[in-house]
Amino acid sequence: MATGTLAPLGRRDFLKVVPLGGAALLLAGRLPPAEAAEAATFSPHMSIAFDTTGAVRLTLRKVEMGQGAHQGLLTLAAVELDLDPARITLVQATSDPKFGQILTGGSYSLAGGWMALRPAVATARLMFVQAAAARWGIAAEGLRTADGAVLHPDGRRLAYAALVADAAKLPVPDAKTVPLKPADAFAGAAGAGHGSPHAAVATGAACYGIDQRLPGMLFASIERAPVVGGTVLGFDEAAAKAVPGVVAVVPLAGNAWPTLDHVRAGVAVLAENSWAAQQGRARLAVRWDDGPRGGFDSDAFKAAMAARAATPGIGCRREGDLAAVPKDARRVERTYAFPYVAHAPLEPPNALAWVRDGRAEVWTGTQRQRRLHDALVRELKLAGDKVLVHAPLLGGGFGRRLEVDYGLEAALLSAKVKRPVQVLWTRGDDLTRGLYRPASVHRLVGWVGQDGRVLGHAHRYVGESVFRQQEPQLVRADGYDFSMAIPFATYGYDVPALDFDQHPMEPQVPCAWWRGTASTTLQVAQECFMDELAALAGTDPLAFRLRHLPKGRESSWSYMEGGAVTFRADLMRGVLEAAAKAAGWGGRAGVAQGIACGLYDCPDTYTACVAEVAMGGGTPRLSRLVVATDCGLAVNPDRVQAQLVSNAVFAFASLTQAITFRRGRAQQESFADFPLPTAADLPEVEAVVLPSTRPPSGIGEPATPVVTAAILNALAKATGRRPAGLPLVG
Amino acid sequence: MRHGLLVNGERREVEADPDMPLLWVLRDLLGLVGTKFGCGQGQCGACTVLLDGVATRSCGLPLSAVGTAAVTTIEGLSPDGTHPLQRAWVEHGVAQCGYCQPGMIMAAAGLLRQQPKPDADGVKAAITNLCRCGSQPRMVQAVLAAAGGR
Repeated sequence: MATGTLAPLGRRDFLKVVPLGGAALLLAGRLPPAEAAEAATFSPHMSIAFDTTGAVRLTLRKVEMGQGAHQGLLTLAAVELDLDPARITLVQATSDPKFGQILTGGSYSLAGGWMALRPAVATARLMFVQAAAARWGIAAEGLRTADGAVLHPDGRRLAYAALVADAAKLPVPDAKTVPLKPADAFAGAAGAGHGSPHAAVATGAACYGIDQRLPGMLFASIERAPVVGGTVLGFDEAAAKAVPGVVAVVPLAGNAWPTLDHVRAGVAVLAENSWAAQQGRARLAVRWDDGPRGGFDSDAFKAAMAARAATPGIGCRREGDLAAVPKDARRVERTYAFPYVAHAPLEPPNALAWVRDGRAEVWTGTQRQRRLHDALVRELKLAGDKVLVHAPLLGGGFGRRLEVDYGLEAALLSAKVKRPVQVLWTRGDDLTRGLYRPASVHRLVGWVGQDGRVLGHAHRYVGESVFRQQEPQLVRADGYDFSMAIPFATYGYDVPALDFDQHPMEPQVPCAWWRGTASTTLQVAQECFMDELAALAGTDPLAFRLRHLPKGRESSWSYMEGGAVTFRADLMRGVLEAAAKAAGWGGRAGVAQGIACGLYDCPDTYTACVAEVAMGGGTPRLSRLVVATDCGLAVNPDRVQAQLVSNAVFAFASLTQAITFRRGRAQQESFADFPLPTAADLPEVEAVVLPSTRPPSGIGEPATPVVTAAILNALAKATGRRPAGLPLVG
Repeated sequence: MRHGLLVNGERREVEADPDMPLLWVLRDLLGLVGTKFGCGQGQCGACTVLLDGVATRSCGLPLSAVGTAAVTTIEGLSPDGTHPLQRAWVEHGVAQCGYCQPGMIMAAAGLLRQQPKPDADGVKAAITNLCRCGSQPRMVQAVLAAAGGR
């Protein structure tokens, strides 16, 4: 929120909820509060509303999960409006259909806001200018605005609040014709920090999904099928009910798997508090029918994927002619395998739902309010206007909260017991009953000519298709999954013959987006392999990369209709050179360095990383990461810097993380076997943000694979053992 | 069973199972939701509170073991959010999603009571809380700044 503590508002026909611990932002934007509703308002676009008291509400369709989207979008709006950001109240968009199919992900919030939010709010500024000009009887052209007011050339000023009634009577101009501020107006914009939840976080007042409260609510803990698709055979209801505080035991049939928005079968224990619910659940002794997936073994699946990698897949990018590579070229082939991984946000999945009188209302940390809304309509057979999803702050997303399973669970239970119900997943639930970044195998082949240049490169990606499970309408008839082809399209080295293909596999376990998803394996393999090619050429890995990034070169590839990526070699050279310079590439005694780079389609963030491994003491130890990015205009450089560090820590954590399956069951149940790093575990991390006046691109996830590859390359240099994927063992 | 508790300087009474961990007493019975649930296994530290000034993970601490100890939660660290750690947290922009941060701040508060001038290695060794977003490096800076500012 921008200023004071605010309680969330309900729609007039929905319940008003005041969560304990204060709220971080307004949760619903349907109606202004009662007192403001009396005043005239001016709202030329659903994103922005002004009233005569000077209150300004900015409604954001993007949720805040640590990536800084709220702060960034507030900055864009404040600059475009010439208004102090502290005077703007943020309102979080609900699932109200007027907001469309909203989704927060893909590192796209700022790029999207730059395109859409700026013209929307600039329209308001233009109309205030027009209203002031009419009031003064002078021409609007050339009138300036500053600090929330229109300025007359003679020194008079009219505050926006005083112009609300006049502006509201004017025709809304076409947003395409509205003048916008130049990019340099945003560099170093004042008011940094506004729109962030920092102050509320530090006092404990920041309000997440888990903190939502309603009178009379029950707390639920669910024992879910350990094998996806499994069903309940029986359970000990009496034992669970014997726990003081337990109110009800409710079996959940779930829905078939695979299906859209899958909910596992299980048994829920509902109680007066979370502890009693968990205690009751522990006594259920549920007997399961594991169903057809009860034999799934992730090692066997990895072997099946490796076998599949020997056969041609669906073409993703073919350029030049591999057959034309001269016979005397040196050839190298490598296979890299990557495991399933969990998201493990620190706030476990949870949702509070109240279903009553033919209506459903849910409060939950979600990256996809509308998908949950539509799933509630479908599963509860309700009319669309009888459902509303509110999105409080998210205690981490990373793609997990693009899924709607936990919101559905809460609503199904509330419908059953006719009371508000909060479902809270335990950490074990999150790791063993969740959704996972797909496992994958990558087979790469390359040929290096006598002159040390790469003459040809083939890359085959075998992995489960998230689209196949989650967005089947986006899968081409032959199975082509474009989300698995984007990191091929972002490849930009100057190589005359390329052959990239994919085997999109049927998901074996519930699969989900995971902070970059396909890029987090594909680009890692790509950049580890680039070091193999450099070694074959006998060239320094940095010099080798630069040699294949000729100055001025631009290339592009289209992974689907309307989905083209343009690669600018100069921008990649810029981040490589910046990272190398900051790290002191070339090395120091006792330090092994590795480098990697990558372009991410959000729409075009370039990152490079130098990783350093200290050799002293026998065991190599990762000591330092230097990450450089060119993500276009850094609207809030401090947040971009924080996100770069976040990418690096996420990549570091992934080195030892894996979810494995035996007899259909995930084997990792806690942070003891799915580790997250402590401060002492981490290397030094330095983030370099290059200045740019290109439109903002994203920073939420682009650097993760780049950092991972740089680390693997540094470890390979230090130990002489070439990487074969993740997790690292030993 | 009724239990008396001293939380943030106030006497509170709850009716609860003596085995109920303090975390759930705070969150579900007393409405103090600033203390967070992250793992329930004492691994992540999101549930850290002060018990007579000592940083303690509340998710595994049964109510019966709290006794007469003074419990301080993030809501009680300062009356107005101006504890040096809270100020340093905002100034350094430590939080990303922010969820694990109350536990981090309380762990830091416990550290500074025991050791008012830790060095970076001391902070890293003492604060073993987990964060998925990568706030750890700035956390160390903020704790050092808060310690230096006293």
